[in-house]
Amino acid sequence: MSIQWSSDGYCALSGLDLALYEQLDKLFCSWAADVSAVEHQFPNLIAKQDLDRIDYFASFGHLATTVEQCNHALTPAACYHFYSALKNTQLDKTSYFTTRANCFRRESSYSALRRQWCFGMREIVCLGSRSDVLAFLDHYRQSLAQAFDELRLPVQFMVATDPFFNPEKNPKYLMQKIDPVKHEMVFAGDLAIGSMNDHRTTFGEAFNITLRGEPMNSACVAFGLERWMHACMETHGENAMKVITQ
Amino acid sequence: MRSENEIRQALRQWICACSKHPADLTDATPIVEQRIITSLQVMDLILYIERLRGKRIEMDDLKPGVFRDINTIYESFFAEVRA
Repeated sequence: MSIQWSSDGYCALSGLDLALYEQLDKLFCSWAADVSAVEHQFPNLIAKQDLDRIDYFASFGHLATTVEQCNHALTPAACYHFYSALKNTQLDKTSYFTTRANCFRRESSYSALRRQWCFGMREIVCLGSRSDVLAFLDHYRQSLAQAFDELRLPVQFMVATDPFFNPEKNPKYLMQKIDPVKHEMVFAGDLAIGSMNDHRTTFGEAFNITLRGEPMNSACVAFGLERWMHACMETHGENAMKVITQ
Repeated sequence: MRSENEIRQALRQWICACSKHPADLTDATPIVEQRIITSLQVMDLILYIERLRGKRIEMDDLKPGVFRDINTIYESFFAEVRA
């Protein structure tokens, strides 16, 4: 059995399913190569004080997995590690990075591959000027739309809002409604398998990362590995690996 | 009932006062895109508009672009009330 599912919200992969998982990540890495993104690897833990800088617990405390014995949490989003690692840094130019992380989000219910507590996330991140960030998002919006066609996946970009805690009282939720900065790649009108996020200067200000004396802009393109597996297998069945590697 | 000019003037004064933005704000200045209004001020702006128009703004009324500038705020939240 190559997908071993635990109702606690995670799965173990082996055999052909693991091969599909790794092949999908190779595909995402090939897309990251468009911007010569530099690969990084981070631990599964992130300091709570770093998440506090972006009010993570106030906005998404219901999703967080904290570690009792130390002041850390399990990584909720792969790109957070870049901002943490670059805090109080003055960039001299726009930079592009990529990483794959195990991410952890507590949910009200779980479903194998579709909604998991622990899941893989590949991110491509741009940190730098406003114009470079906009060009980065524009590039991937166009290239991914083309990729969805070539892979014959029924995926569309849709405006999204994050699952804030107590959203109607959260200014960030209201801001996302009126000025959407997050667009999801939605499979079959139902499942967000990835997202594109324009952070503007949120992380630049929170972590004091500057470019030419001003808070840096940032953006990320994120892919949920297990959800991509689900989308590919739902669409192509046994031919999923063949379609991904063509 | 306030006139259109009075409503627009009130909005301009509120935005200038709360954002400490210089007085060159026009009705076409993109207040969200240029972060003249921040996420922390959006709730206050919503409450101010509700008081100004005498009617609550529902969550479904908050759509992309409705706070783009004073022109769109007026069209989105006041034109219908005055009609």
